Amino acid sequence: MKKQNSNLDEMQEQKLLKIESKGFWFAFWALLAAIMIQTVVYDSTTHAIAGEWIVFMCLSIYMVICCIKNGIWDRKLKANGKTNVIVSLTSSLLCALFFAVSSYIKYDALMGSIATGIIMFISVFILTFGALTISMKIYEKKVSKMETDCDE
Amino acid sequence: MGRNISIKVARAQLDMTQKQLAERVGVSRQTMNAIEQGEYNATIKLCRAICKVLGKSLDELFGEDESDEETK
Repeated sequence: MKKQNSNLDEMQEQKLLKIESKGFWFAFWALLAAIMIQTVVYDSTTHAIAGEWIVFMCLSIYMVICCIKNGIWDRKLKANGKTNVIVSLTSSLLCALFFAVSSYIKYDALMGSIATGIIMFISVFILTFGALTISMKIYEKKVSKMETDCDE
Repeated sequence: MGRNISIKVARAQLDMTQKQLAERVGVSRQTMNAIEQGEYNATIKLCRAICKVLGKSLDELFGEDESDEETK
């Protein structure tokens, strides 16, 4: 077995992939943390988080497209409506809580913060549930196509 | 995953060091050591290359023996 265009053998390649994977997830969560911290700290967040937000969105879109293209949904979660509702509810609840607290820290207005939280909860839930449902439909279509291709 | 004694024995029969075997199959010595120690599951491609160099069958070098079954 000859080495091909690489200084690494298969075990080293696998180890490097694991290292890169950990690095990727560290960068992903660190970016999210940076966005959240800047959202709380700065008054005008649009300019402050623009760069991080673009990179974060690119990473997320890249992951979603690549996973769906390869017929992968998640390690543990099943692609179904019940999961989508639970994930959407959880994410919208966390978002609502974060934006309500962030709003309260910035403006010190309780009613305004509660209203922000409620608006964020509804809008994030609709957006997340919609995005998950669309992604799931595309994923199911892709998996069914892959299975048909295997049969031929 | 237990140690792979079969590779070590086959290598000794041919008076071959771990480094020499690693070079013949095109991997690093660390990888060959990890395979012998049972720390790394080699791909079928690498297993076949090792078998070819050592003149043994896949079953002889990588087949499950009774001790493997017991540890499961």
